[in-house]
Amino acid sequence: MIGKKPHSGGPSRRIRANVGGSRRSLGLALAIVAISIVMTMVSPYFFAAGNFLNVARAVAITGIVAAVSTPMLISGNVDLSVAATMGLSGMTAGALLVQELPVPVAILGALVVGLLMGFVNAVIVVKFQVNSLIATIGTAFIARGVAFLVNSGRSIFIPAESYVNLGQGSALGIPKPVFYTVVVFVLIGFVMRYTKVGAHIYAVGSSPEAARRAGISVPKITWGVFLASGFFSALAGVVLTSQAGSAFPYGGQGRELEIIAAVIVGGTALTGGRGSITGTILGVVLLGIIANSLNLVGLPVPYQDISRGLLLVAAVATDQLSGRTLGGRGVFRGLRAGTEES
Amino acid sequence: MSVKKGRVVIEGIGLSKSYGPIIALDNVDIEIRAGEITALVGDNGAGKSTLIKILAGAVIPDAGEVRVNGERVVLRTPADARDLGIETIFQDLALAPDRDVVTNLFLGREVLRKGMAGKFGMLDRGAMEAQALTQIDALGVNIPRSTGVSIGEMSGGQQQSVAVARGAFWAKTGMFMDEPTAALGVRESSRVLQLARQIAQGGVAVVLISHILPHVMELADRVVVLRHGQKVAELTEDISMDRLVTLIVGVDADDAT
Amino acid sequence: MLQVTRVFVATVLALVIAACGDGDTEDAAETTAAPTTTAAPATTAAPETTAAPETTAAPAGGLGAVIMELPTTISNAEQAAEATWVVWDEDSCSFVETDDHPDFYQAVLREAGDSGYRFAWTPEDNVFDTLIVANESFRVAAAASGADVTEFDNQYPSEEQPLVVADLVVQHDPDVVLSMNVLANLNPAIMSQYKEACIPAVAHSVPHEGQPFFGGGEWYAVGRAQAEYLIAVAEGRGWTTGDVDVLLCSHSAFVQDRTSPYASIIGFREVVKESFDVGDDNIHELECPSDIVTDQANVADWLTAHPDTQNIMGFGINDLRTLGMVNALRESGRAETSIAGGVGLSQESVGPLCANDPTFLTSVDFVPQLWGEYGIAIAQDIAEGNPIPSEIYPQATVVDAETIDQATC
Ligand SMILES: Nc1ncnc2c1ncn2[C@@H]1O[C@H](COP(=O)(O)OP(=O)(O)O)[C@@H](O)[C@H]1O
Ligand SMILES: [Mg+2]
Repeated sequence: MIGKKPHSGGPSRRIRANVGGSRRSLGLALAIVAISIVMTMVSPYFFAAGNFLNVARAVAITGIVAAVSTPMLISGNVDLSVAATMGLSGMTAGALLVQELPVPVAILGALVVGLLMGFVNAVIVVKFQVNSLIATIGTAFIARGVAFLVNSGRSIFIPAESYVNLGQGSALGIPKPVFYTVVVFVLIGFVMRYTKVGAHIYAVGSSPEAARRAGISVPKITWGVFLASGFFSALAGVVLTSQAGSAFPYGGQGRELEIIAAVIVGGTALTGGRGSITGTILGVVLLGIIANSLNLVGLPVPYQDISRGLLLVAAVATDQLSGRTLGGRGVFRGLRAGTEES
Repeated sequence: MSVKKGRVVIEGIGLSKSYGPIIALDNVDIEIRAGEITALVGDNGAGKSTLIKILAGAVIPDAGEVRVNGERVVLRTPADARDLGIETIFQDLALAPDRDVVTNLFLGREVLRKGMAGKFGMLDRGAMEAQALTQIDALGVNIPRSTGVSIGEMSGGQQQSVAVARGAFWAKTGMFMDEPTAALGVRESSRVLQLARQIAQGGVAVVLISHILPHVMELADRVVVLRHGQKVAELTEDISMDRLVTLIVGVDADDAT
Repeated sequence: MLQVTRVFVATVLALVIAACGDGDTEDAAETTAAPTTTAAPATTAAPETTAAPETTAAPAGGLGAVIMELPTTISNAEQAAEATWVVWDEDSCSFVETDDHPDFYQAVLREAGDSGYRFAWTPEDNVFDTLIVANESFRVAAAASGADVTEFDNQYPSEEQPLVVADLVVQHDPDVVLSMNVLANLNPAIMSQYKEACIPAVAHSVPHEGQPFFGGGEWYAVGRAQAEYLIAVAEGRGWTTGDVDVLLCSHSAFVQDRTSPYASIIGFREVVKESFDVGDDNIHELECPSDIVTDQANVADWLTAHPDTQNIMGFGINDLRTLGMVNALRESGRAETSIAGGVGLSQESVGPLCANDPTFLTSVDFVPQLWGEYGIAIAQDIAEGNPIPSEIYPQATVVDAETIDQATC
């Protein structure tokens, strides 16, 4: 029966994208538009190219990691070591640059450290069957500790101008970090939407057992998402340090929750199996616009935290209302008492 | 399909499997024929699942051999069996609930684009959709034909129909169904069983494990009875309810074929 | 069985990692040692203010020759005579106020000689930039003076370790303990342990009632000094009060009073109001959570919302935040019309100062590389029964592109 040609004029209904997902994206887009309209009326400085570029620059780094955290969450795992990886890889690049090694070597070094983090996380999650939430909290502590040891807790002012130029300034009028973020989004979005690997990541997150029985290697997918997470977090660390002009051991600290918040607001389920890069982009932009708006209006940061929190809770609440439950799936796998023997 | 009805396509010879002290399967021979429905019955723990798991590559036997189309094969993983055209539909579904019908039908066997794009792992979504819808139409199953609806939003019967449709789509040689109606209502059950019949008529060797003896008697061309890991009977005619029950529970434990 | 193996493997892994980590720490300590020693002479040479030679406490008892005289500032330094002085009273096991004291206080590190004094230093941790340097300075000063100093790590942010450390110190029974515990809620328990054991304790970084205070840096004075420096630059450039906006990069995580680094913001604000007549409407306090790029974004948004500002005088609660602010000023094309200062002389200011950055002009050196010299000198005075002021700060120095020690560049 394989390869049977569809009869002419036969099955004709065209593809519809995932209905739940697109509904969420539409909601986010509307929220962005609504806030923009209100802000345009409230602040004369909001609706201006310069301001939008500020927002883009501000969310660029979060965006890179949010992009790679999307397949991570979709696969039913979570990586809370992303921020610590940013810090450690940034320090690595800084340390190599201080040794007067060429810029590409420093970047390569940072990316290798990121891959190493991904490797360690994958070993713990795949081989030792540790829940990814717990595993990556552990490795986050370790990476942060090592980041402090790189230069005895001191930061490294980056001497190489060509490195700093990668993150500072603009090209074609657009802040440089934004380019990297766009490339990462396009790449990961493409993989998730159009490739076999993407389909397998969704399948593994939706039901690891079904994926396994369908001949998909769950460990391979898990390895893949963790290596990618380490790699792109390290890339974000490179962008962070080049934009800042300094590598600091606590670089990225606290961003992991912001990143996951953006991904979840974007409609990706902590329970795995569902989500989209489009949603994540909108989530990142929405959080960025809210922070920018509150800054422009001059509302202090505690209100930003509150609004971010409300948004996250509201987004997850709508998931719950639409009948999703969390028990034993995705990130929550293996969190019950005892161990599930393989 | 050019397979002649009644030809033996899958054979198990002297299959045994123990789990520690438990003898799950004890020197069982079985022949499964193209175009037929072979029912596998027996009490809980009789070894039915173990037997088809061996034939499907999910369990490696301690002793015995498996032949497909007369040739000896070594099945180490379910993928080995699938490559030979043997599909299994499990008691618990093996579907990804967040994905749509098309994705599930091609789970792990995605169709890639031709040329360079395919080398980069790009999916040929159009081809998969066309084939999936054709399959659904051919089987006449009642599932939402529009793509984009996730499996999890469908009823249990519809989900099982997707699983059966997937099995049927890929099964060239054999299709094993382990209690496919366990979680279904009466009407949904009979719909799924009808599908089993349809698939057998296409020339596939179907093995059905079921506790519901009326179903078994109505559908099966052949009934194999297991008890305590041993094959105690193989019946093709005069299958009465009483006789089956007796064989299964082993009240007159002196029966043999 | 599998479980046991896993636990075993995990334990071995943890040990291996810990062992490697230790090696790293030692290497790290070695590398920090170099800049520490080079920086020391430069900083001591610079200040010429407080050193009042005639008041130096005469070396007495078993202590030996003078090794180093350290400039100190006392709270209310201008009225040093009004400062409260205390002396250790062995009978009541407490510090008591005294009027019998010199006009000025200068910490003087002396050779241990045959005094036999034993001191304890309990730093917050051995991880934070400043403390790595400070702890090293205790080692250097101990080696130079022959003093017996034992370090007990409070392992910030552990809530238990400081209490464990207090126990250990009591068993060690030193003549003086310099207690650096920044978790203020634990200090009553810690200090009462020392009192019970009759060990004189100096509170470091976080003041505690009844104990003399050895401050790391006097944040308030630092903020004032930075404001004075930047105002001088502004006046030099011909800026006037009317065309200046002051941007303060602070963080809500700090307690907003004079007990925390936030005191530098208070000091800075006071001076720009008093000496440069800037009104509250032109002083803007921004939230800078210290992730340089986030700080940059917040400042960039503020600049967007205030396109009409002419000249900007910026001050960050530490160098990191100032760097984020300076990045935002540069990206918005205002590098030439802005000046900024930071605090801490960490890498984020050393870089720009060495590179003669047009905007990031100054930072403050807290001399953690001399905390050991100060701490041991103060402890020697207490052990000798000499009076000391109830608040003592090492003299912090304002550093700019001209005064920065080129060896650190
Ligand atoms: N993975 C296993 N580990 C241990 N014992 C098993 C395992 N699988 C099956 N068994 C045992 O083998 C026997 C046969 O099981 P099974 O083939 O599932 O029987 P059935 O499907 O006929 O109910 C039972 O006693 C069962 O408990
Ligand atoms: Mg069974």
